[in-house]
Amino acid sequence: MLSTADVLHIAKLANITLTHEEIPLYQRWLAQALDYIKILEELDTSQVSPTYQVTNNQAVYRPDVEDTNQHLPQSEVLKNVPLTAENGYFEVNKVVWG
Amino acid sequence: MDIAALTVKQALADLKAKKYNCVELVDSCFTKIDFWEPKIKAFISQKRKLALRQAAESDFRYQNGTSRLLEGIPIAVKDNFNIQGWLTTASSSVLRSYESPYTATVVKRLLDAGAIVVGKTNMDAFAHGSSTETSDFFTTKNPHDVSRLPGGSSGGSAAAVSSGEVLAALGSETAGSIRGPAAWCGVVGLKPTYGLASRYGVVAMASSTDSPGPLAKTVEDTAIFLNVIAGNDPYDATSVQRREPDYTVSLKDSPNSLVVGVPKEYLQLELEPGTRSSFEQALKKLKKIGVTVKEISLLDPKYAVAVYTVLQRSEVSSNLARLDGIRYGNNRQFFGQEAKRRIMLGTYTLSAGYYDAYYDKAQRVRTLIVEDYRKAFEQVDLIVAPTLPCAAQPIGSSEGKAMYGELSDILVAASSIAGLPGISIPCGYDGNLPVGLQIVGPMMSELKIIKLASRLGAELGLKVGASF
Repeated sequence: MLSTADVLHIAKLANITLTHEEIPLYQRWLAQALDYIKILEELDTSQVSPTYQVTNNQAVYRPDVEDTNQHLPQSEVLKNVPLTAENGYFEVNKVVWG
Repeated sequence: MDIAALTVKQALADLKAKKYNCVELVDSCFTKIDFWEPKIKAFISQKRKLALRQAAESDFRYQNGTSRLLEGIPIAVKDNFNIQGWLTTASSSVLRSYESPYTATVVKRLLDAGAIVVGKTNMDAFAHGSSTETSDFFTTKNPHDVSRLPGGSSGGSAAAVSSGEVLAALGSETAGSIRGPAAWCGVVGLKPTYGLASRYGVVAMASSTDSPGPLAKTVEDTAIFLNVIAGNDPYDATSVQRREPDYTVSLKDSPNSLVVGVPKEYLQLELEPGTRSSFEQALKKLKKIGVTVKEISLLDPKYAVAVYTVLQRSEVSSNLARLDGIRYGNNRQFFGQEAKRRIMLGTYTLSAGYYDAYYDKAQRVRTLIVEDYRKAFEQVDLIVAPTLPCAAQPIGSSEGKAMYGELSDILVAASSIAGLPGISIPCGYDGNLPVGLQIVGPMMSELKIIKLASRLGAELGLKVGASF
């Protein structure tokens, strides 16, 4: 069972804010899921290598040329900005203080 | 004109023969949508003026002989596909007002083939679920019984096809998200081999299994759709290098001498009686059309569910990390409960000290599953099973159940993890609710699957959709 501190640590890593009431809920849900996936321990995988992808594509290359189809004008790029975008920049909250 | 039973194939023939024009066809869709939408809520957004303008252009192309493969066919697109100028919300509050600056490759191919997108459909938020109940906006209802769920995550697309609002729709599947809702809504849903249909421009969920694919009223219509969307895309490095030149088949292409496997572990699960009996009836029909049906053994599907849970959560936590509320979308406070649950679990399974125990372990069991299928396909050509263990469940079924989607997807998880193609076709009824049968094959075996599904579908002779 994960402790309250574990849950808060995971939330911090995930950049998610939990309310005081949510902590025990997530603690329980995480425990349920972790309990279910424990069944994987029943299978011996000591002689098996992992499968990260199923297509067997190897290092796919593209020509090193400019692709103008993927260009977007600055106004398009910035139109979905939720904060403000001034002078063509994304505006972000201050993260370094001092 | 009633378009309830109208197929893509028939509409293309009618339009060519000038029985009606594209504007009239799109108008009939709007009539259907106006009738059904208050009851089922399949759509998140519509663009009617644009659709009518495109229909007029399509009519012009029929007149001057430049019509394309899907000219004038009204379709719906799941709301996790970017289409330039449309909102792409993935049914999430985070992306509630996100307007796509570009178009997903598979949608571009459909538009370039003359298809007309009349609207974008509801889904589980970020495709996290099997019910549409985790949509941050509203729950879609099953057209066969509006007190029940359509399945998910492509529930809006399945309901829109089932009710006859559109002729076909685009969905996406990570594990069951096309086949599942197709089964519950009584339509055909095709999940292609991983990589056959490009993921470029699709809101990423679990990148190692996400597969776009069609939902339609007939097997042949899904094949017509696949002809347009399948194939290599330089913008998706995981997309395949080759494809079949044509996925449509004639009923004369008899599936004789096929050997089809039925995994005994799947039938040992708790299946609802109506699902079990419909499936058994379908097996008899398979034998009747000359197919050899053979019992096979596969790894217990509960392991696939566990593998899927770990891999999907891990990939979700990584993919959704991009939603920082700086460049687009609302900030992370806007995530719904289900998204937060999945991000948290995935963050944990990827975190230092737990990576080996969960993520690495799951990827190794994934190898066992891939091997398990490889061996099975040495004995049989294709595998059949019920698509889901039960018919459509009542609204509210998924609430408060952390593993709801995974456990209802128990019969589709393994093939998704292995990247295999599969189709769900209606195979019978449990009361008034449709039951789905799935056919799964080796990588890139779509043609073989379509051939058998088409022949079996004809033998079963079932009506597809809820609108008749």
